[in-house]
Amino acid sequence: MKVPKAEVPYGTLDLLVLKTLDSLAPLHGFGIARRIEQTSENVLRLNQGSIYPALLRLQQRGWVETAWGISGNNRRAKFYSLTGSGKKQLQLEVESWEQTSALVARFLEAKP
Amino acid sequence: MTAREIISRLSAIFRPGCSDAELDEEIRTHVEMATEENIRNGMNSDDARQAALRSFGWIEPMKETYRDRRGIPFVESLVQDVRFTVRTFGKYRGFTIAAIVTLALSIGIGTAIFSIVYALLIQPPPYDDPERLVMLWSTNQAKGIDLATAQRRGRSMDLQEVMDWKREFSVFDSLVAFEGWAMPVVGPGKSEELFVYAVSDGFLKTVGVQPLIGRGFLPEELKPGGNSGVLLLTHDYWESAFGADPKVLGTNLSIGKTREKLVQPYKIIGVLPPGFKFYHRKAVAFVPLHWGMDQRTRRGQKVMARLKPGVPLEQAQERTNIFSHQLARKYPAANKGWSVKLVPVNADAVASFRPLLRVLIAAVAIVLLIACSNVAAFLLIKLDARSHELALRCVLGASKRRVMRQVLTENLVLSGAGGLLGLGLAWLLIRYVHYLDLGASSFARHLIGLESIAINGPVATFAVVMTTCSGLLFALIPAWRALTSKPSDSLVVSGDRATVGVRGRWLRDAVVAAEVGLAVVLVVATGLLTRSLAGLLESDLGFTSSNLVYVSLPRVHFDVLARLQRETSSKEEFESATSRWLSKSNQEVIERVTGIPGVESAGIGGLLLNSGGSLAPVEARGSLSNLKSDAQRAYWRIVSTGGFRTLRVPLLRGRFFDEFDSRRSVPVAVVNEALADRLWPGEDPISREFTAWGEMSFVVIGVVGNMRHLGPRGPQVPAFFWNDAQNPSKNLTLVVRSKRDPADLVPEIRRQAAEADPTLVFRKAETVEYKVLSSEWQLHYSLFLLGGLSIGALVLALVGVYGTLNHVVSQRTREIGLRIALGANRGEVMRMVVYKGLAVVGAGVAVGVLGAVLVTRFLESFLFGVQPLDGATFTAVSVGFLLAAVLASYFPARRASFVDPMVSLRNE
Repeated sequence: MKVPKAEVPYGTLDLLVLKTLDSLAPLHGFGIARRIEQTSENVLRLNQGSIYPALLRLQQRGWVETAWGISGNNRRAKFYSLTGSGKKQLQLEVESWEQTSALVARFLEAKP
Repeated sequence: MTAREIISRLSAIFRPGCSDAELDEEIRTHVEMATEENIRNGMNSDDARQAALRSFGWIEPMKETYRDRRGIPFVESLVQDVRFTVRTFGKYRGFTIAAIVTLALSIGIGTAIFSIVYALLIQPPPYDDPERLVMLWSTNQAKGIDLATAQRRGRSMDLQEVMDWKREFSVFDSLVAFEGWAMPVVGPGKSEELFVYAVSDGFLKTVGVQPLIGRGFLPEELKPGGNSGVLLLTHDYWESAFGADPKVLGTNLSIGKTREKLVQPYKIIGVLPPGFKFYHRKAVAFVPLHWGMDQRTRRGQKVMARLKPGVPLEQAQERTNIFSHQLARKYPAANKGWSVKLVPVNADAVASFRPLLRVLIAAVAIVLLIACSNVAAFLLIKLDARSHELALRCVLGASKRRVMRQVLTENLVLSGAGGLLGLGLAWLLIRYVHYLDLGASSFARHLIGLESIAINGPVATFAVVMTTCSGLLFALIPAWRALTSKPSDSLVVSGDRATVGVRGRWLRDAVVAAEVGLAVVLVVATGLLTRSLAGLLESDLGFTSSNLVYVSLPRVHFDVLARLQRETSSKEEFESATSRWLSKSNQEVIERVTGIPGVESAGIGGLLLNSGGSLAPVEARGSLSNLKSDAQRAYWRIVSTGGFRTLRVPLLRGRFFDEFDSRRSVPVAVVNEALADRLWPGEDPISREFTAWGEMSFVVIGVVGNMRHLGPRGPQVPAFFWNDAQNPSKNLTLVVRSKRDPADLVPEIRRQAAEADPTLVFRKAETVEYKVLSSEWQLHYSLFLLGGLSIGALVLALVGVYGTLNHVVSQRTREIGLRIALGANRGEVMRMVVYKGLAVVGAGVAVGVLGAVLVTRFLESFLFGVQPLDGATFTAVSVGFLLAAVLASYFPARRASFVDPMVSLRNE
């Protein structure tokens, strides 16, 4: 039986992409998408294409930079990596996510 | 949005293609990599690709989001509109070129004319609080001196009255009386005739400036009998003549004072700040004006005053009226009936140009209107051709706003291109104006502002506003049509057969007719002015004016006079020595000039044209009329024997001067007919005596015909002529008649005169034609500018007619083909098209003639020898336009007549 896949929670795609690039940069778009899927152990249902607008957004904010390079199997691809301010942003987002999830967890644990 | 994001988005707009390709490549790589992975996981290649695409998700919507994210939608669609516009214009190349050229012409000419108007009239005067400065003009209804007359004569009050105002009137902060003349100035290295103002005390206070270096006038320098030999230099002259040397303070500059008839040294006490300008003219120096003991009735001075702060002009005018009334009661003989009008200095500067300005602005507006309606007509035609496309876009879901925006963008692009080219054209025209050197003419020589004609901030702003306005203006009609027409109208008719409805055609014809009408008005105006100028040049001045040149040679002979003064012991001796010296020198100059090869004859004398002339009171002696008449006033001039011969003035009675009239014989004079009639009506004037200035008496030896001393428009005034041999003139006006173009002889005349007498300063050489033209500078300049404008208008209107007819022919090709197939001959087809053109132009001419009838009376003050409703001009212009219409319709008509019926019918 197939496990119903979850959508990427709203607003977290940026965080997932930044985190992925933090551990594995530089990486091309396909690599980022596959890495997110693998890390989630194929639980997340990701439209792989949707990471491109997200990457553009991160790029415009100066958190991600790009360079054309050659992939492992000899293909020209665009590689993304974190910038300095991207690293700071990742830290901020991780903190805020931890706060949010702690808050949600406390609500769930609260006794009626 | 952060700044970084904005920059990134903006930069993306200008290279969208490149970025799209990058995204495509990224997607392709992505899908290939996914496919490979799937194959490695054991799928066959087709399935692997399918799966890869599936997991990628929808590509197109993603790209759309990506693009939205990348650019700025509004700007992007604007860029899209502009690109589309450029493509459309590429398709309608002929139309585009015609429209842009039309706009460039009108904007260029308009801007160039504005730059002149701005430099001369609008540029604010360089004073402190200029709005508080007013001119005081004395007017007198009973004497027929209204404000305009007073301004034209440039005289308002005598010094006594100025003092009354100064002492007793409390509304002004300060007040200055002034007059100005062109005078010989002996600068370092060269003597020139330059403009000098004489000003009363209160000058610096009124204009609100302090000398840059040195000091202003002291009170005792402005008092009668004080040390008045001091002057202030303007910054410009200080720079050009003295190289801005501060050591010039305390040294002397010699200036000829026309009143005292002497050159006098003035001590330089100060230099005015850069950019300082006074009243209308570019002066080099300011000297004290004396509070002399003039009679109250002379009224020779101009007066400028500074209002107290916070006093509105109306209130000041009321107080002024009351004070004028008081003065009239106090001095009934001098001031009865006189009152004073206050005119802000700014408005006063424009006053003398106002008629010219009005005509010019109207003409520029007409040309702009024609250009706009021309482009509007073109746009309507293009819209017809494109109505199918626009309708289709509406049907496919483009909002009307979006379509409107597209049309508007197109127009702004069009007018923008026209504006840019126009600015270039304006720059060229301005260079041409500088090249023409309007300032060289005798009137404009000292005029402020000519040197500042340029494309500066305000002028550029004017061009931009004009461009935008024209863009919006000519967009109005087509945009309105695009909005109100139903898409279904044009879709019903199939494809490119779509033709305009009756309404569209009517509108287009009306626009073309209107522009023909406007052009007719302008051309009629130009025609009337041209006839006037031709009339002025050919008018009988009372002498033969061909091949005649006037050479002005004022004398700067201060050194000689000083020497003579040293050598003589009494005043009488000095005067007679001076006179002998002048007489000998004049004689030698004339002999030398007459000896130049090519010179037919030469002498001293000439018309008083342009100079205003000087009047002398005269009285007949021993005549009955003496008892009853007041003193008459007559113009006078010193003339040598050769002068009359050279001018070829007709001698009616008696004789000219001859060699027996000398300083020792009885003073004799030649009078003109008008003076003879005035002094001795119905009697023989020969051998009669008259006195001038109440003291000098003359015996009349000859009567000559009347000359128009004041120019062709002036009356035939009474005048008498002195003999140069009996009263040698200090400042020479040589009249030289040559066998060929006299301009070639001027350098030689200058040389000979300077050799004969080094104290003669060359002022100017003018042909009579040039004198007439410069006395008529308003007419001359307006004709120069109007001529250009009306040629522009005529061409534009004809282009409009041609373009419209051409379009009509291509629209009706099928109908014409059918007619020819049914047996119409080509002549009939041609006639049909030409009639169409004639009908539109005819309607335009009718409207234009009507408009001209209403408008030309505003030109009346410029006209000479021709009525505002001159039948010949009106007829010639109308016929000319109809002929031009035939010409403009000929080519479309020819095209129509060569329509091949088979081709045009098969075209379906």
